[in-house]
Amino acid sequence: MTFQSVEFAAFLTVAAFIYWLAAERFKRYVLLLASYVFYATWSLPYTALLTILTIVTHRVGLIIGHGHGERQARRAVGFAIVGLVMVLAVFKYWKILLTIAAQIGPSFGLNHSSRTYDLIAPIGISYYIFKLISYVLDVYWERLPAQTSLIDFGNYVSFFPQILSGPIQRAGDFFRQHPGTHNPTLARMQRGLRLIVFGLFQKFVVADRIGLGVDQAFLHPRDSTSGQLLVAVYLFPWQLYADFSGLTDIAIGLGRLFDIESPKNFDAPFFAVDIADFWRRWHITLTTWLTDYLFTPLRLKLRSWGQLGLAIAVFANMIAIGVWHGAKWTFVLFGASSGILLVAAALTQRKRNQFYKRHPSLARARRITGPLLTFHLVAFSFILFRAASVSEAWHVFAHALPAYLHPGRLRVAIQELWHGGSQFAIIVAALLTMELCHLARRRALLGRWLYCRPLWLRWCVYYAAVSVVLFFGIYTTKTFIYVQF
Amino acid sequence: MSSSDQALRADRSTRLAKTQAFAFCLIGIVLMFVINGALISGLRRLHNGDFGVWNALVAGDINADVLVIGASRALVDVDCEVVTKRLAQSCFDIGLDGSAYNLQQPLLETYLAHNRPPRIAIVSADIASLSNAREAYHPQQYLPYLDQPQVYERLKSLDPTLWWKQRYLPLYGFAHHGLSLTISAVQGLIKSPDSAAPTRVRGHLAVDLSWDGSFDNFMREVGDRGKIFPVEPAAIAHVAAMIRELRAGGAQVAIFYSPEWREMHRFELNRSEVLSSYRTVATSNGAVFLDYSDSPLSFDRSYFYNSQHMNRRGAILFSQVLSSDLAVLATRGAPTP
Repeated sequence: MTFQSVEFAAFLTVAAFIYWLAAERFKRYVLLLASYVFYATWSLPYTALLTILTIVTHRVGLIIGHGHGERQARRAVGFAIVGLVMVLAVFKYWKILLTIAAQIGPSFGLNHSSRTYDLIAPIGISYYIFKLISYVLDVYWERLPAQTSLIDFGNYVSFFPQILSGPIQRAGDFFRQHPGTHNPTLARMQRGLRLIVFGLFQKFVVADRIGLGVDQAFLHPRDSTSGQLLVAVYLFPWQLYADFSGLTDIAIGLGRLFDIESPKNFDAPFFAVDIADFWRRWHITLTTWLTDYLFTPLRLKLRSWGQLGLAIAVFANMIAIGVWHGAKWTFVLFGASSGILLVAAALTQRKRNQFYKRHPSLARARRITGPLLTFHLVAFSFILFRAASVSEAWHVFAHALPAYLHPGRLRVAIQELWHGGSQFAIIVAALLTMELCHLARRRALLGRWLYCRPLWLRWCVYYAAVSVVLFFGIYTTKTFIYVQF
Repeated sequence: MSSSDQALRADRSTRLAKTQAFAFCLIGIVLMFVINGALISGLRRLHNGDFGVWNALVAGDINADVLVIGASRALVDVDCEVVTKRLAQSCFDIGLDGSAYNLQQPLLETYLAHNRPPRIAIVSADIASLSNAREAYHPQQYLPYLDQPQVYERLKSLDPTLWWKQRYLPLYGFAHHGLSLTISAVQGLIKSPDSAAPTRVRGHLAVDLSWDGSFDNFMREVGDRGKIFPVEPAAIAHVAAMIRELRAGGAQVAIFYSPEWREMHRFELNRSEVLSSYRTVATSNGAVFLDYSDSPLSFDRSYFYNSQHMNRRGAILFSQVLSSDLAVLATRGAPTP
C-alpha cells in the first residue's frame, strides 16, 4: 500500500477517524495498530522482523538506561549496534556480500554455490534501523532517558507516515510530543492536509512528468542523443528533489493528522551557495543523523590529525551516505565524488571567506553564481546516483558534454523526450509553482495569505489545487524513488 | 467574559469548524461526481476517432448490413467504403486495435444490444490473436462505456481492482489515463472534434504509410529460430461464441485471414496449426473461413506498412477482392454445421 494509492486513502480515513474518536488512553494503541496494519500490507514476515527488532532494542534501551552498570551498558550498546548493522547489511548488501564470499571463498577452501538467493530488503529498513541505532546511542550517551513504554517505543519505530522513507526523526523529538495521547487541532489538520496535497503535486505533477523524459534517457543512454542526455542530467536533480520532497511533505502532513510534527528534510537545496551548503539543505534528517553518529565521533577521534582528519571524516561521511542508498559501485562513487567536492570546499572555506570579504561585489554576485555552480556540480555528480552502472554513468557524462556545443539541439531533445513542447511547458510551470510554494512556505506566506481570505475563496483554492493534481499528474509510476532505499 | 462563556464560544467555534470541514468534503465529493459526469458526457459526444465509433455503436447508429469485427488488421485492412459500394450494402468496421477475441466478444455483444444484427459479419483472423488479452490495449477508450455490462464484466475479469475504481471512483479514470483524455473530453463538451484522434471512415482506419521497418526489427529479434504463436482453447471458445451470437441474429458469418507479407510465413512455425484452428472453429459453427494469407497481394510489399498490416492502397485492393467473395457468401450462404 503506497501513499498515492486509493487503498491508502481509504486506510488513512478509517485510521484517522478511529484515532480521533478513540478515548485518550486508547489512542496510542490505535496508532500502533494502524502502523502495523500499514506495514503488514507490504509484508507479513517483515512485520515480524520489525516487531522483533523493536522489542529487542527496547529491552536494550532499558538495560542501558536503568543503571545496570557501565560495563553491561557498553556490552548492550555494542550488541545492539552490531546486531542492527548486521541486519541492515544482510538485507541491503547481501548480493555484494555473496559476491565477495564467492570471490574469496575458494582461497579458504570453501566451495561457492552457484545458486542465487532472492532476498528482497524489507521496505523502510534503512530508515527504521537508523531510528533504532540513534535511540540506542542517545540513551547510552544520556541524551535521552530510556523509553519505558513498549507501545510508545513501537509507535516511534513504526509510525506509518515515516516508515517508508523517513524523515528519520530522533526519538527525543518524537517522545517530546507525547504521541498517541491527543487529537490535533483543526487548524493543524488543515495544515497537514494542505501539505499532503502539495506533496502529491510535487510527486505527480512535477517529478513524474519530468520522469517521463529523464527516465527514458537514463534507461537507454546509448540510444539517446547528446542533447537528450544533457537535458536529462539537468532535470534529474529536479525530479529527485520533487519526488523526495513530495514524499516527505506527505509524511509530515500525515503526521500532523495524528498531531505529530516530523522534521523537515529539505530547505531549498538548489539555492545553496556552495556544496557544503547544499548538503546542509538536502535530505537533512539523513545528513544530520550521519553528522551526529558518524562524522562528529570520527572528527573527535581524528582531531589531532588536523585538516587531514577533517578530510577523512568528511569523506567517510559521504561514502556512508552513498552506501546507505545501496550496494552498488555507482552509489559508492557518488558518495566519493560528493566527498571530494565537500573536502575541497571544507579545505578552501577559510580562504574563500577571506576572498569574498576583500571583494564585496563578488560576494553579492555569488548569490547568483553560487547556486548556479553548485547546481551544476550536483547535477553531474547525480549522474552516478541515477545511472544503472558505472560504465553507463561514464557514457552519460562523456556524451552529455558535447551538447554544450550545440545548444540549439536541446530544444529538439526536449521535444523528443516529452513528445512535444506542451509537456515541457507544463513541467516548467509546475517547477516554478513548486519553488514559489516552497519559498512562500519558508516565510509562512501562503498560510497567512489563505488565513486572511474569505472561506469561499480558500475553498476554491483548495479545490483548484486538488484538480491540478488530479488532471496534471502522471499516474503511471507505482512508487516513490526513495522508497526503494 | 466568564470562563464558561469562553468555553461555550470555543465549543461553538469547534462545532462550526467541524461543520465546515464536513461541508467542504461533501461539496468536494459532489463536485468530483459532477465533473466526472460532464467529462464522460464530453467523451460520449465525440464523433471522430475510436470514441466516435464507440459512440455510434452504443447509440445504435450503425445498423450495418456488413459488419467487420477484429483487431488492428480488421481496422486497417478492410475499407468499408469499398465494400459498401461493391455490395450496395452498408458496411461498418468495429475493429478494436490491439485486442484479442476475449475483448472483441463484449464489443460485439454491445453492438448487438444496441444495433440491428448484420446480414453478413466477418471476423478477422491473425496469427497472434488465438490467445486471450491479459490487459486492455488503449484502456482509456473503454472509460465512457463502463456502464455497458458486457464491456465492464470482461474488463473486470482482467483486472478487477483497476476497472472497479475506474467505474465507481469519480475522476479516477481521468487521472489514471492522463491529461490527453481530459482534453478529448473537453473537446467533446465544446463540440469540437478530438484533435488527437485519427479519422475513421465507416470505422475503417486508412493508413498512409509505406514500409516502416518494424518487420526488420522483428526479424532481428527472432532470427532464424522463428516463433510459435499460442493457440489457446479459451480464445477459440470466444471466436465460436461470437459466431454463434451472430448466427443467432441471422447473419452469414465468415472468418477472414487478410493478406500478410509473405516473408512473415517462414517465421510462423505453427502457421498450419493456427489456420486449421480457424478453419475448424468456422466450419463447426456454421461459418466459412476465407484465407487470403497467400493471395497475390501478399507478395507485394508496397501494399503493406508492416508484415501484418496493409496501407491504404493495399486495403482498397483487398477490400475489392473481399467484396466479391462476400457477394458469393451472401447469395449461397454458409454451410450448415
